[in-house]
Amino acid sequence: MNAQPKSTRPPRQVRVAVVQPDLRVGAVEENLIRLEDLVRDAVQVHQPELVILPESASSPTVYDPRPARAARPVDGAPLQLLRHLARELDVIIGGGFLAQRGHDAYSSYALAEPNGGVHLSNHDGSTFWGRHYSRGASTSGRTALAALGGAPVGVACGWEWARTDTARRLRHRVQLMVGGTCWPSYPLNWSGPLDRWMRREHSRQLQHARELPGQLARLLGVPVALAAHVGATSFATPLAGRLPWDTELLGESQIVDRDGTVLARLTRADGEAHAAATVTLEPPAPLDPLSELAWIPNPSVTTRSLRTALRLHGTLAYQSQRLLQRHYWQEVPGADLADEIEPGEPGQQATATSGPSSTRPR
Amino acid sequence: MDERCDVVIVGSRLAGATAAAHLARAGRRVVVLDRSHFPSNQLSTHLLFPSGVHELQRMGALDGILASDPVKSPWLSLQIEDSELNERWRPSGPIDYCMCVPRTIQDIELVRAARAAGAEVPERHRFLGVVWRGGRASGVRYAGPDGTERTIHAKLVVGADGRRSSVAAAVGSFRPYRSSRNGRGLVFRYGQDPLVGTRAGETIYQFWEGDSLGFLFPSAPRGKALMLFMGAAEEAALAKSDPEGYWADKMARHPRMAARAEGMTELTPLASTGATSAYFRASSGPGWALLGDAGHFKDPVIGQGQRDAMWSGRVLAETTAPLLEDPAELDRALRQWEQRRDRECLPSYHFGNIETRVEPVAPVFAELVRRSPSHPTPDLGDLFGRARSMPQVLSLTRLTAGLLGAMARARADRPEGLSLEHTVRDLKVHLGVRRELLSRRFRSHVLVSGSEHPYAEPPTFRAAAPAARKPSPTPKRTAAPEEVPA
Repeated sequence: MNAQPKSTRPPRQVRVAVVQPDLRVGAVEENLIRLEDLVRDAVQVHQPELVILPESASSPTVYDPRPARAARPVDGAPLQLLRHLARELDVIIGGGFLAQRGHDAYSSYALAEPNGGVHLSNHDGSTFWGRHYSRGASTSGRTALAALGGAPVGVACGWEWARTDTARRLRHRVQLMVGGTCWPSYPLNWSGPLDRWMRREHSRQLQHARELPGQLARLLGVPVALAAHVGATSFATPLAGRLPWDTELLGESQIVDRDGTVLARLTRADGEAHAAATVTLEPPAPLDPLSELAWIPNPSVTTRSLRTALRLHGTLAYQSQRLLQRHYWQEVPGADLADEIEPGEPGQQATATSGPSSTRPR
Repeated sequence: MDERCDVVIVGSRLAGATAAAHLARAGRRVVVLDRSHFPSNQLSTHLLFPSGVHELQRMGALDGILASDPVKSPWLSLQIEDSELNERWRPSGPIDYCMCVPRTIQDIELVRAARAAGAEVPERHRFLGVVWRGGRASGVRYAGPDGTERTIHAKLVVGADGRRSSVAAAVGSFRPYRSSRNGRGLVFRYGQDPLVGTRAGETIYQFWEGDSLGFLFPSAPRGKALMLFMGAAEEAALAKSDPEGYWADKMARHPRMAARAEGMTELTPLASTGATSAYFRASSGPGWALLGDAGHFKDPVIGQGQRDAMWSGRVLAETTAPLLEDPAELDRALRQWEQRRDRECLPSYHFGNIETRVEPVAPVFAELVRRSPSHPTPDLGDLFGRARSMPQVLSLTRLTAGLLGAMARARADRPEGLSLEHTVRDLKVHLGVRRELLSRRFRSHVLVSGSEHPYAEPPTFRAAAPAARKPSPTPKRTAAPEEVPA
C-alpha cells in the first residue's frame, strides 16, 4: 500500500457504512453468506459509497481449534465475496480475513473497488490470539481509492488501532481511516475474586473500544470508520485445561468525524447491525498531539501482560506448527497476489500465483 | 422456479462429459449444459494415445466409439532425417493402441456415455453467467433453446467450455497467468487410405523434414485417414488462401509422407488454425473449476489435449464427489486437484513448447532416434503416449549420451549440422523443466527460459453476451470446425 495525500484535493463528501456482524467461530463459508446479506442490506438502506467490515470477518479469532481452520487462500471465497459485491453493488467494500499468502497465513484486510481494483494489506496479530493463527506483518497501512478520486486512506486492524505508532505513521498522510477489530473481552464466567478482576478489566476494555475511534480521529485529523465483531463467544483458556473462557465480542462499530464527534455508533447492545454516516474527505488536520507512549488508550497492566504473554505463546505455537507442516492451510498449495491489484474486466482479474513478487501479475 | 443439482458443468465434450460420467456414477446429480447440438465438429488433432483410449474406456464411451469401426493403431513410425524409429505403443491398462476418431463421431459418444451414466446433458443451452453466494460459485444462469433464462444452483460449477471459456471469464480467471507462443500451426484433411488392413494402415506416422512436421493417422470409419501438417503458424493463413497449392507444396517437401499417402482418395477440404498459444489459467476457486482447454492448453503438436482433458475430468470427479456437502473441504480439494493437474501436464506443456519451435529436430533427439534399438519394444513413444514423463524418457544420462553421439557425428559427418548453441539451449531447457518440477511451486509464474516463448497470443477476452430472448437457431450439422482445438 502506497499513497501520497494531495493537499490540493477539494473536500469530498462520502457516505460510509459500517457493518457489525455476529458470526460463528470457524464457520467461514456460513459467515460469508451472512456477511453478504448484511452488506446487501446495508447498501440498500444507506446507499453508501464505502462499506466497512471488521477484521477477521470470515471468522472471529479466539483461542480455539476452529479459527485454526479459518485461513483461506488469499484469492479464496472471502476475497471473492468482496470483489463480487463491490462490482455488483458499485461500492467499495473493505473486510479482513485470515489469508494464506505464499507459505504463511496472515491477518489480511482488503479494500475492493467497483472497478476491480483491490488493495490488500497484512496486519499484525489481531486479537490476543491472532498470533496463534497468522504471522505478524508490518504494513504502511495506506492506499489510494480510485472510487474516492484517489483519496489516500489508512487501514488498521485490531491492536493497530490502539498504537501511537499507527497515528505517527499515518499522520498527515491520509484523509480517511478505516478498518476493523475483533476484540473478545475478558472471561465473564469465572467466580470469586477472579470474577471481580475480570469484570473490571472487561469494563476497561469496553471503555477503550468506545473511545479509540474518536481518539485516533483526533490524532490523525481525519474521519474514522471502524467495524467490529459483536456477540457472545466461548473458548478454552490457554494453558488451563478445559477452563472455559465465556465472554463477548465488544462491538463499538463507529463512524467518527475528524474532531472525534461520533456520527454513527453500534454498541454491543445493538448486536448485529449496520450504521452509516456521511464524512468529508479533506486535508488532514490533527487536533491532538502525539504521545511518546506506545499506546493511545493506556491499557491496564493485566492487558499489557496478557497481550505480551499470549503473543509469545501464539508466535511459538504458530511457528512450530508451521515448521512441522501441521497448519490446516499447509495441506493446500500456497500462492499469493500482489498487494495492489489493478482494475480490470471481471474476466481479466489477477489470480494468485507463486514465484518472485517482482514478476507477479498485478 | 430455480433448479438444483450437485454439479453443473458447462461444455459436454471430452473434459465435461468425462467428469459428468464419473460424477454421475458416483451417485451425484450432474447437469451438463452445452450450446451445441450433437453430432458437432471440433478442430482437433483427434489423436488418442493408449492412455487416452483408456480414459475413454473408463468413462464408458469406448464401446460406442468402437462401433464406428475405427482403426486401432498399435504401431509408431517416427521418421527423422535419415533414420526411422518403429515401435509399439506401451499399453495403458488393457489398451495397447492409438485411435484417431473424428470429433463428429467421438463427441456424441461421450455425451451418450455421460447420459448412460446418469448425467443430464441438455443440448442448445447457452451459459449466461455464474451465480455467486458468499464468495463462492453456487450455480449458473443459462438460456434454453427457446431463449428462456433459467438458474440452476449447484455445489460445484465446472467450466469445460474450451479455450474461449465463458465460465473462465465469469469467475475472473480468463487471463492466463502463464503462456507460451506457438510456433507451429495446424492444417489437416481426411482421405481414404489404400493401405487399410496392412501394418502401415495401423501405424501412427510422424515425419520430420527440415523444420516441417507431417503426420498421418489411421482414423474412423476404417479406411479413413487423417493427414496433418504442422509447419510455421503463418502457414495456416496460406492454407486458407490457396488450399490445394499449399497441400501440393507440403507434399513435395515431405516425400516420405507423400509416399505413404500415395493413392489417398476422397480428400476432404483443408481445416486449419494458427492460433494455438499454450497457457495455464488459474483453474480452481471457491466452488468452481476449469477443465480441459478452459483451464490449460498446450501446443497440439504433441497431441496431448484430448487425453489430458479426460484425465483431468476423471480426477476432478474422483476428488470432489465425496466432498460436495462440505464447501470448505471441497474448495481445498479443488486446489489440490489443480496442483495435481499441473504436475501431470507441466512436462508435456514444456515438451509441446519445445516441439513447436519451427526448426529442425534437435540434434540430440535425432541422435537418440538413430540409436534406438531396432526391435519394437515401447520406448521413445512414451514421450507421446505418456506412459512416462519427458524427464523420465529423456533422462540426463540418455541426453548426455545423445549429446556425445551427436557431437561425434557432427565432427565426422556434417560439421554444419550440429549447432552447439542449439544443443546447449536444449539441455538448459531440460534442466529448467526438471528444476521447475522439483520446486513444486503452485501456479508458478516463473517461466522456463528456452521452453516458453514470448509474445503468446492466448484467446482474447469477450464480455459475456446478454441473454437471448429469442429461440436459438438450429445449429448446422456440417463438418465446419468450431473455434476450439483440443
